[in-house]
Amino acid sequence: MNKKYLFGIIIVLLVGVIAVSVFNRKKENNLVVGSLLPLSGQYGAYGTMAQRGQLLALDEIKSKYNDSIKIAFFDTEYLKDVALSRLMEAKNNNVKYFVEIFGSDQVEHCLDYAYNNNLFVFSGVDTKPDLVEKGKGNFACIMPSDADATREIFLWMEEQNMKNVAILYVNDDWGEGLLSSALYNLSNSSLNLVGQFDINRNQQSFTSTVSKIKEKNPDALCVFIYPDDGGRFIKEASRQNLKAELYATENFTGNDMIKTAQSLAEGVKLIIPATSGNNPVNKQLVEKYMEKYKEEPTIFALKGYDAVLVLYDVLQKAKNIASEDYTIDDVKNVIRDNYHFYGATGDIGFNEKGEFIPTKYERMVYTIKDKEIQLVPVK
Amino acid sequence: MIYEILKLGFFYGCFIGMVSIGFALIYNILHIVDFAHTDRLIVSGYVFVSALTFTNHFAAVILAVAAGVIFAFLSEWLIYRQVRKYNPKLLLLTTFGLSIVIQNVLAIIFSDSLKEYPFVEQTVLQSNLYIRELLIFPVLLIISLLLYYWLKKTKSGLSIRASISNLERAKTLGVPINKIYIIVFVFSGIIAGLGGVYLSMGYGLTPYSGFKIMIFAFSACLIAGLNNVYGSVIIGIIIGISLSVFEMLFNALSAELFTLLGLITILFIKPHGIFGEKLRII
Repeated sequence: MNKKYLFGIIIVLLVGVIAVSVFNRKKENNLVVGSLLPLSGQYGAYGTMAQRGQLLALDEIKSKYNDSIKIAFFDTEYLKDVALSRLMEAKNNNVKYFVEIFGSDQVEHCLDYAYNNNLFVFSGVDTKPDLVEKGKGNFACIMPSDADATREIFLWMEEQNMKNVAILYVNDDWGEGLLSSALYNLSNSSLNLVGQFDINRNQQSFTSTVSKIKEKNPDALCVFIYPDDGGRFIKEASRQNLKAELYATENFTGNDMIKTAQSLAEGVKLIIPATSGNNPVNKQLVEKYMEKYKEEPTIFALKGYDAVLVLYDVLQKAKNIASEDYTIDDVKNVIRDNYHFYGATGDIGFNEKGEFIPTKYERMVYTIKDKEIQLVPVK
Repeated sequence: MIYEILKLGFFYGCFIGMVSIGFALIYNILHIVDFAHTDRLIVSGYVFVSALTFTNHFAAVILAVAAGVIFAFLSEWLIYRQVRKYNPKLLLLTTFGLSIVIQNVLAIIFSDSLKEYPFVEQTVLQSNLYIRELLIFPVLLIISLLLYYWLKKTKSGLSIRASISNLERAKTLGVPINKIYIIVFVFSGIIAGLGGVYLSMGYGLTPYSGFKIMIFAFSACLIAGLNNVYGSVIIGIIIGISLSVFEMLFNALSAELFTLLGLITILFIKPHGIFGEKLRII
């Protein structure tokens, strides 16, 4: 008799446990979004920066909304084909929304597959013009395009009465993309192009490069190369007493350039998408980031953070409008419907075509302040 | 501009020439290309840069050279000697495997991003030259003279030349072959240590930086004639200058391509090297 009671109690308990877990599973948010980043190889540092920002955004979503969405990270090694195969792998694991495919050429290579398989890709860092158009609505980004950045650089040069300009670029997809945007915008300016010079990634020496640039005697030089190469270029430019003013993009905000060039970086000018350093969201993120990673967040971390929060917000809005079973089309509609979000990089908005409404740029210059090289806004 | 280009080419060529001495020595004694030679150079470079975080330059150079020597000694003593004992045919493959292992271990420890020299180099007085550039040629000269004196005037040098000339006969005459191997590897370790310091100060390091250096340094040996140590130094300097000149005329990628094409052409014309018996010391 006792055994029968005991058996009965166990059965009841088991049924109860199963029922509770099934009920909880229904309530739990099982959303997994994908993030395709270069986490290894020579571009791994950039992927890591974006990943850190994304993880901080996840922490915030958990603490603020008690929601447990997850990010599945995939290493693309910054290779187009690897990115596409990771995207396929993620799709096979039922991931439909992506918070990043890092690298304009990587995402461009994936856009057709994303469209044909009804995947939605969001990006915080991709800068190539026309990506939104090529994505046919299945792609949105929150970084102003290269075309905007180079236009802003030339405007600044004109204001400083520069006449002769040279362009130094790394001969990879990113560098060549910036070069073509620069050449287009240069033709619409009063500036005169005196030369364009390419370098390899991780080029060992810059002596020949600097000598060739010096021979053209430019007033200003666009430096579209990676920060570690940039640091060594600046060292050699200083040794050869290159007189041209150096202008770069947000790419030069990473620590790698300063670690190498140190005080020689004084005077290098940077155009950075406005991060609205005075806004409270930005301040809060910078504090959290510094506490966790013991260094200041770069633009890649800030954009990675914002990308996660924007995508989460968009998905919540789609869910509110269309119910639990919202579709990619509902998500697209949210973005196109005068959507705005206030993030760590300021006001983020999209026009009716789903294109990011470019924020303002900030003009910064490396200056020695309190015996340390610092990035200071230009007034 | 041409002065800057030739200057850079000369210094880089001295570096290539210095590395090629190590290659030539090991080749002549083992009759194989030691693919790991330039990886030991990279290890020394990492030791140098890491040591600078807690000590001064002089001590860091000593540590880098010590690392090169210890690593070369261990490569020979622990690995190459054992392989030679059991299956000498696998030796070439072993050096290749060791090279890959070193690169991967370095990538795990230091990551594969570029590791930079943590200071801004200062030019010396009005010369517009860095101190490493001022030192590379005298160092190369000292190494070459020491090598000459050692091989020509000392008993161990005579043993080395005997081993290279006829290994079996040297063995029967009681030449301590294993000791000779160790001495050659230690010497190549010193070169790797100094090369690592030069490379890390001027160009930065990645775990894979050794590969290109190996290509050019070994090409210098081939073009000079594999048993011609001084010839390989001269060809090393010529390779450095041609890399710079082609980079000035085209770009860095084309410079490597044209230089290697030039080297292949020379090998077609003179398959045994351009110096032959001239400048031969071993």
